[in-house]
Amino acid sequence: MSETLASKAQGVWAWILQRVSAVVLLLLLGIHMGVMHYIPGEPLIEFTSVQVRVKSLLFQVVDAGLLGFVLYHAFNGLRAVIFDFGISEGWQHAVNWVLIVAGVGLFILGISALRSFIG
Amino acid sequence: MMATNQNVTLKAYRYDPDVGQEPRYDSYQVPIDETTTVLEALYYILERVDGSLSFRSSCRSAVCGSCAMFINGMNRLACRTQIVALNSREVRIAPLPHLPVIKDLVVDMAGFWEKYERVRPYLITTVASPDKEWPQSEEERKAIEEAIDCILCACCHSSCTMSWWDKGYLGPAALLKAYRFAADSRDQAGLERLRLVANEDGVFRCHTIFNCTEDCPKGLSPTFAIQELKKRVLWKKLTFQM
Repeated sequence: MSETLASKAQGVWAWILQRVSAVVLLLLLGIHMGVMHYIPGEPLIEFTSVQVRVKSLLFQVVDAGLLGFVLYHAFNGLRAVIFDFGISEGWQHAVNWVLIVAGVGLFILGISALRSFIG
Repeated sequence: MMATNQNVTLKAYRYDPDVGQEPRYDSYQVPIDETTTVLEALYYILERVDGSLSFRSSCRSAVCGSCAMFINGMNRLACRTQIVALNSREVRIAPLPHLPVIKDLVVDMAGFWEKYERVRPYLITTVASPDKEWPQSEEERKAIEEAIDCILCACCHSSCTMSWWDKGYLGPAALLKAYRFAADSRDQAGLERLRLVANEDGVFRCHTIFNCTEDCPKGLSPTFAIQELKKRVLWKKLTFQM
């Protein structure tokens, strides 16, 4: 029977990780908004206070996580939209790789902005 | 509710590829009472007014799925749609949307059946059949209670926006059928059954828009079935069985 059937499951991880990243984003965005706008007693926004905040390891981890999950969620969503047009399997592979390279590239670009504050 | 024993205007989509004219709507006056169905109105036109009108029908009791049409803005079975229930003096009938029209209200179902066959819509067993029957407990029967009621009318298939865009997508009817056998305690296809639908043209193309569930004249939910299939596929993946 198996010779006539598809040999492997495709799209399972992309599907479940889209849902997982959505939940994680809710949490990270909540933290992000809270830190940016709602910490009581926060001094006026100026370079030194921002510098202190960005130097915090926790802030860096949350910010890098937010960037990573946003990029994954957005690019995976875009991938789904493109796949919805019924493109061939060859084009699906091409789209996957273009989005992976673009996503990783943007993640590295974003993280590099934090680099001067690290250490 | 509108008054009965009067005439309604029935506007039927007309298109004959052999004639080569643009599609149009023809209007007919049809006498109705409180029980007249859209299918009876169509037969009234066919037998007494215009014998050239084409449409499909067979059982007249919502079992065969032949007479699915786009009636007053929704996919419905003509045989179980009473005109008074539409609460309108005008009944507008078109063929099922997004399917190729053969003539008037008759659509080409070839693509629908091709997808239906892809999910192998029959019981697959690997051991010899028992002498009498494959027994099922009450719970096992209940698991497929809803899915076996599908009459393959294509209302869901025609209303699914993903089926419109992605011609390779299996669509809600085929996936509901796949679930019907995946959930059947007698089926022994196991993982192979799930592999048929666990791909980009299968369950993961469904974005839970629910058009199929809204339009099903039998009150079934292909969306639920597709989500159940996704869960089964995910579980097999997480437990390294797939």
